[in-house]
Amino acid sequence: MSIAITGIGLMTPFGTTLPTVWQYLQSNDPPTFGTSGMDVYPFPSKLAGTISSYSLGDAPSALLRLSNRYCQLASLAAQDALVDSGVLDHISADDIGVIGSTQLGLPGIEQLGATISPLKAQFLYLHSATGLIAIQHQLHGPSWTVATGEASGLMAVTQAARWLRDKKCKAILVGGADTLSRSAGLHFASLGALSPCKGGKRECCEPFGIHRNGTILSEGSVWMVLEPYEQAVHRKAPIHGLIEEGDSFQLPTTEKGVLRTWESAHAPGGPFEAVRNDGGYVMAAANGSPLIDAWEHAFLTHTVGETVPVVTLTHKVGNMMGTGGLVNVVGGLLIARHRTMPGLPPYDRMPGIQYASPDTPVTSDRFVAQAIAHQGSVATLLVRGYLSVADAIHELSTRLNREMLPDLPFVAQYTITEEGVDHAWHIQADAQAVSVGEGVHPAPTIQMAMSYATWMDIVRDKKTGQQAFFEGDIMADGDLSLLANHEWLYSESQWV
Amino acid sequence: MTTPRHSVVRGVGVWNALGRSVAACWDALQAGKTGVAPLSDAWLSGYLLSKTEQFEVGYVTDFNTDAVFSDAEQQRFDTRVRAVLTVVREALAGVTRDELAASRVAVVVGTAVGMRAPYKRLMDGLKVYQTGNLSELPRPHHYASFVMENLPDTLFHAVAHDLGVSLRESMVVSNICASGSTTIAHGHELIRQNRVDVAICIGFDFFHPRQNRVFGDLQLLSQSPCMPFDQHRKGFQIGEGIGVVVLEREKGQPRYGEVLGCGLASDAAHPTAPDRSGKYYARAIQMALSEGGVAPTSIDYVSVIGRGSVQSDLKETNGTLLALGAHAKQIAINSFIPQTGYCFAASGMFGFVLTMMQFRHKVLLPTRHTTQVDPQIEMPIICQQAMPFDGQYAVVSNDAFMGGNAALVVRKASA
Repeated sequence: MSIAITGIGLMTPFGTTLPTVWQYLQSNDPPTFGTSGMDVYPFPSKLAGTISSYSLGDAPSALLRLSNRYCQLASLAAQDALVDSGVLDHISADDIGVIGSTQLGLPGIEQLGATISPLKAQFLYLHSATGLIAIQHQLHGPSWTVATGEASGLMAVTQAARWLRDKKCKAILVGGADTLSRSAGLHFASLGALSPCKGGKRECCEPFGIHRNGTILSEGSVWMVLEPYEQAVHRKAPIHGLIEEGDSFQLPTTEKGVLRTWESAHAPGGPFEAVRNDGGYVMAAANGSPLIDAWEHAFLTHTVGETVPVVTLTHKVGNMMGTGGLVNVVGGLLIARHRTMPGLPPYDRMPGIQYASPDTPVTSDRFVAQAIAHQGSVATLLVRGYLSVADAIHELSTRLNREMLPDLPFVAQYTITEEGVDHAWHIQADAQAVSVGEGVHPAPTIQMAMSYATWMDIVRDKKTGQQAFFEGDIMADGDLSLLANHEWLYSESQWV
Repeated sequence: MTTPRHSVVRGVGVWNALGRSVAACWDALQAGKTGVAPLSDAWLSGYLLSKTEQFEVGYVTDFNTDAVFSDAEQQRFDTRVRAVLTVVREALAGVTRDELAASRVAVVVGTAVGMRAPYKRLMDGLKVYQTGNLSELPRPHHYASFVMENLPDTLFHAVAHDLGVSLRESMVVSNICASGSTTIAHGHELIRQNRVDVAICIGFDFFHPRQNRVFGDLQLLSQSPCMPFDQHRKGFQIGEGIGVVVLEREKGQPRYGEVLGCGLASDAAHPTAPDRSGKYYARAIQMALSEGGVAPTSIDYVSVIGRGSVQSDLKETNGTLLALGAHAKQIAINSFIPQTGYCFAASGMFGFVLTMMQFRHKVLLPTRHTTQVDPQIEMPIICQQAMPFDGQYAVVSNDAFMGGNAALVVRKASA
């Protein structure tokens, strides 16, 4: 069973919507790390990705007002994910679970000495943000919080997908939050993982850099709504991507055996083999930590080498702690959606893997997102970017018009069945309809559109030697009703 | 390799105010002893929190493990981590390193609060917090990582090192007071999904005097003995402890019992007040029964927490009645909170372990201090006297702040 991502909500220092986040990732501007919102502590790195301000909305509930920054950021992002998905309009809240994640929650020492009101004490637990979200939206399904360091977010998604596949509920709101604090900074500094930022902002965090000296912390929250793909299609939900597979494992305590453990954790046919065979890409954890980056680099060198583009976002977004893996998923989906890799700042990197840059072609919508905790927990997720059928056709027509077949009429008929997309596409060449493909595709993804682009290319070369175009963008806003509205396109007269 | 439907309970371990092993805890419970006592002067020194001294606590007077850990290990592991490792060792007694090395092993950690540092360590850490001078960090700062964070994932390396194995999976789950059953549920799921062969499920929470203030303010603590289900009950005392349950794939004869199914659901009603109707408590039980393929009428015992607060007691019993129907009125329940104190995640683990022990010893222990059962409680309560028991199936259920509910359905090992 494929699991669809039908809603995404974000609260990050670099954007609270998918377009703004994409714009930030694409820009060549230096990262927007600042010092506000976090104590200036007398140890390395005074920079951090800080959410300078946020609004609780027009009429925040008493619970939200009483809660702390950790809970509030989580709640706001979760709310956006639910609205984006529209799941509450279609699925009973009794059947919707909430799985949260955090690396630190509200750090214990931040509470020390403070007068704890009994009204606020309830928000001191790791699970408090998740519980608050369940209460706010009356979500009665399974609920818990994963707190496995930086791997927490991806582990939560993996667990959510497993519970959905086991049909323990019909949808799950899954995500995580972590906030900056003095103790968070001290914690990473004590691990030797915080960059001293001796140079400019660009030099602060250099994932896989030869001279990397640690990470920059960021705060934020990312939430997603997951549900079975068939259900999402049936209720015409927006689909951002598909969760294909998730895994997690523990690295040994010493460097010896790390690589062996890592490789053996991925059985043949696992996520890395999938992206290698499919021309996909890897969203690496790459947090700039001298040790963890070395391990991940060694693993990627052995597993995908220079055959698969490796994307790093941390130089731009910082180490978002437990939420970092979720940011990687969002970044991967945006890359699939826009068919472009984000910028790659210039610094010396460890050789042996292919670092994705804007010049790297995006040839697949499949990617692996990875997160690694300093305590050795690793989580990986195989994700497939997704466009609706209408978007996929629009994408294809744009490519065809621009690159391949701008002079030939091109028509398509499709319907969505339980098995997938039943389709028949043709081009009209020399007053004769030429079938370029028909059958059932398991999911209407970008991959489908791209496979057709390839077929069209073959048709052009072998059949006509000419180019075709897609008739307008009539498919762009259609969905299941498209066929009925535009049946004339497929009439006999159209072909002869 | 076939996918197992159930997971088998291979071993159990406990350390709480009653003793530092399952046998010691069981003997103390049978003897009617209590671990709930006034905080010692040593505990109170340095704490200036009002209400701290007003309530007794089920605390472990000494987490000393010097006798069982080498000097190097004492240097390497924080006292709390060593205490957890001690209980893990008990639960894995009889399991050889070779056996573990040949297995895919997971560690699942459950906690409400996290790896809370002892007082002195916390104070030493506070100095670093204030000055930022990392050279003054209390050692070891890696295990029970640092002192500022309650990071329970520091346990993964410690357990792997102590057992000499590589872990296939590791995760920390938190569901506040329902973390115990939630942890075992995740261990069970890892085995049922054929992802690991052995799941070491660790649940713990350590006492901090500030809890007395917070829970005192919430009117949940009692200065008189805890009397769960009693019409004069006034609340509970906080405790602390560690519980470990080792699950494995079905093979041979189970030593303790089997986990057949698990279920989770959320009240989603109020952060601290339980939904006394028990609707979603019942739902978690029904989910576990359904997954385990067990009829409600087959259940012989239900392990509830029994905190001794009015709303919580009613939620547990009403929820059980909703889940099991009229059959629940024939099921006697009990509570160990009067003797252990309420230990958050660890209480859920104790409930599970003591269910296994009651299966084994064919007896249900009485609820100490409870004499006059609240007439609103519609289930029989075992008071004062132990009760012979020869049941086969049980439900172990926990509920929590923020409305979490987690339930397990278990079956006794055949004689």
